[in-house]
Amino acid sequence: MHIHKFEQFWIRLSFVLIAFFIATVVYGFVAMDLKVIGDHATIDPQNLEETPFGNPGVREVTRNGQTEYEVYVQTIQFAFNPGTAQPIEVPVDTRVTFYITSPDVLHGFDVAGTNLNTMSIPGQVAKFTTIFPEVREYGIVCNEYCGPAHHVMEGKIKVVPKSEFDKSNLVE
Amino acid sequence: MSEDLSQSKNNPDSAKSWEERDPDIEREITIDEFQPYGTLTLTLIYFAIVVLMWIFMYFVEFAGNAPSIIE
Amino acid sequence: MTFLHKYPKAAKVAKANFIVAFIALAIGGFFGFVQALHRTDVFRGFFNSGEYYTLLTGHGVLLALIFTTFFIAGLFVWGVTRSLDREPENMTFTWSWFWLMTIGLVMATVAILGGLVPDSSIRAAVLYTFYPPLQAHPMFYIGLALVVVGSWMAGADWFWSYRKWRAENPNERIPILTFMALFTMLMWYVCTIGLALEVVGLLIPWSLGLVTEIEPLLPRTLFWFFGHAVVYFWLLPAYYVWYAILPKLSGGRLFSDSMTRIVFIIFLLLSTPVGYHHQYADAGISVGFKFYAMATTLLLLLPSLITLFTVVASMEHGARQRGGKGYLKWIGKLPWDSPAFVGCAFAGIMFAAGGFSGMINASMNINLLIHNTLWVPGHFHLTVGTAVALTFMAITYWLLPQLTGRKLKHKTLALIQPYTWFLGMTLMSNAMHRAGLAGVPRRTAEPQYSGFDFEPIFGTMAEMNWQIAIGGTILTISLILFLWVVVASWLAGEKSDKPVDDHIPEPLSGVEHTPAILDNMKLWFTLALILVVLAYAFPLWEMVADGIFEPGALPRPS
Repeated sequence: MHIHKFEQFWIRLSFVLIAFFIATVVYGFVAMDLKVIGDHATIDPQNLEETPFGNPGVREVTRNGQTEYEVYVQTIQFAFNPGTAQPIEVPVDTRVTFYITSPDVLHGFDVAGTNLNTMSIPGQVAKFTTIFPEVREYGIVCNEYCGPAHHVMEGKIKVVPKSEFDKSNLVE
Repeated sequence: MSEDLSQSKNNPDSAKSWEERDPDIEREITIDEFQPYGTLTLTLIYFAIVVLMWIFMYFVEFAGNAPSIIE
Repeated sequence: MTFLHKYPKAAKVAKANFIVAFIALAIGGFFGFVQALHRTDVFRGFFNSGEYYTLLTGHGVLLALIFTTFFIAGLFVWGVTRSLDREPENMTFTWSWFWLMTIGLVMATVAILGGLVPDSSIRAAVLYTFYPPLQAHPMFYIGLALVVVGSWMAGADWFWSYRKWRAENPNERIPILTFMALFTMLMWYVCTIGLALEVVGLLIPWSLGLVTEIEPLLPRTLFWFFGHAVVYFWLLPAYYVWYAILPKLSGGRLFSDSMTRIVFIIFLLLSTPVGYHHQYADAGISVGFKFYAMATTLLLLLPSLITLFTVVASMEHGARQRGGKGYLKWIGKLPWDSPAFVGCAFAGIMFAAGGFSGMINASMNINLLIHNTLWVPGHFHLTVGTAVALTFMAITYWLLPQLTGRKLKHKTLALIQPYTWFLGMTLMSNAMHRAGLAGVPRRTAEPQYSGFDFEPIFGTMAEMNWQIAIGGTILTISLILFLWVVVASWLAGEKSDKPVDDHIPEPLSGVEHTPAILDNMKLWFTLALILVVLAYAFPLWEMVADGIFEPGALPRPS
């Protein structure tokens, strides 16, 4: 086989590039806490009432002696519950774990302008943990087509100082 | 008269190569004398752009876009 | 003598495929124009925002599935017939796959356009990914299935020609134009297994009401089993043109026959087991399989980077034969006044840019930065929307004269066309990428929200919207130019025995340097199947182990 020496060099360089990409992804994943969601649990989308999703909202939990929060969100045609009717309120600099699922069709759950971005698939529970680093409001966008009024589906996350966090809105 | 050399068949009618028959071509360059320096230059420029943009996208745009999924 | 005179039967088939392809291009392109104005809120008078999704489905299906498949069929009929020097074996069979695909396309299109009729029960606003539980009319799924079955028969037709040719030429190497077509079809057979299982096994029975519930993740996963390889099914015919024809249009010869074959083999092996990279943001698929998909996806950079070198080197060879000198000055000696050349060259430049955004898409965690944002259509309008579509348009300027026996008319308009496409796409695509970085979603009729504003890092939303609307308008003008040149040349071009120089010279490093194992189709096809089993057997088993339709969701109207 006749491969020109320049092309041989370029092929070696291409392998270097591929290895470099994989290395950065792994470095980000391991050392910089830039994860993706994985396989958590399946759920019967027609019977969410009997699960925590039947009473969606923010819950307080204690894990490893720390106060953390869990947020159960249902994405429905064409709203986030909670998120659309009232904002999801969470404290700053605290671990927050989201559990997201859908009783009807596929939706997206994208916190605009951040790396929080997941699909909401009927039958699957998407689970991820994050820490909001600053006090501000974020918009939530449904970024997967979900039906004729898909474009009105939006919500809000309100990140407040720990001292101002109102625990009366928590669900049990 | 067109002939189809894409099937590795020699056409006895054409003594001249395609390059010699094409008025836009100054001279035929054989495989032994062709050194693709220009291609090497272009691909190295592309390589540099891709690596720099990747570092920017990953470590500035993406890593600086918190909050992120940490678990 | 040109193709039409030597192979009149095949020319007729290729022309029929091109007619269908160009009608789909015209309709789908018009829908794209409406969308560009609608989502940017420049003009919303054509259709309402609910109907937007019907147009969007039409845009995706007609351009990404119909225009491509029919054009590819026409191109491969041309290439296989010409390089094997034989007409199709049985014209009844050949026409039957053409008509089967056409019937399927009409069914799917009627189902989609039904959505524009008020209160119609025939609807298919499910977009070209048709994720359940959103449900389309059964005619949509059956139509798409017929298109795919027709494309399988088309592939069988080319393998039939090849086997006959092989019986008469036992010691010849596979001609490169046939080699690339057959390997593209082998890849197509591997990846459409997933689509067939999804559409025939799940969606058709479900849309007919034979089963009520469906598990959304399973068909979605099967779709992406097919859905990434399908982009290579569009791209490889563009590579086909870049490897086989572009060197000659540049005034040179293909740099290396062996590298060409190696590239197609790698695509056959790796195109399918990478589908999860469209599902990095999905629950229900473990991180390990996402990582495996990322590694294979990034390995797929290799054949495209080799293509970059081989194709650019072939062009450089042409430029130097035309008197080009220096490290970069030779670029000026390329035939920048030839419409076919300019279109292919710009398509390649755009592909280099789209390649970079594709590297971001492919890389697992950074994908979350842009997943389902406008960045993604920004990316694929560079790849399928330019690298593929502009190559197909450009090479039409060179192929059409061979198929019709008529010279190209309006050469100036034909030359302006790729330049306008390049300009329009530069405006539209850069703005889409930047809007995506700000979080603007794709597939949304009105991406303007009441509760918050997007905060772009580069530029402003207003400026991006204008770039998208103006870019889309310029692209529409470019498309009209293309269609005008095609129709005028087809109907009124000057008849000629030799309407275009259709000679393709031998490669610089020819087939005599190419190892014989590269032509072993059974070996590479088997390896491809093994890699797919490794990637998909276990996760698919996990999804079906609890029941194929469990956990089940109820259908929802689209």
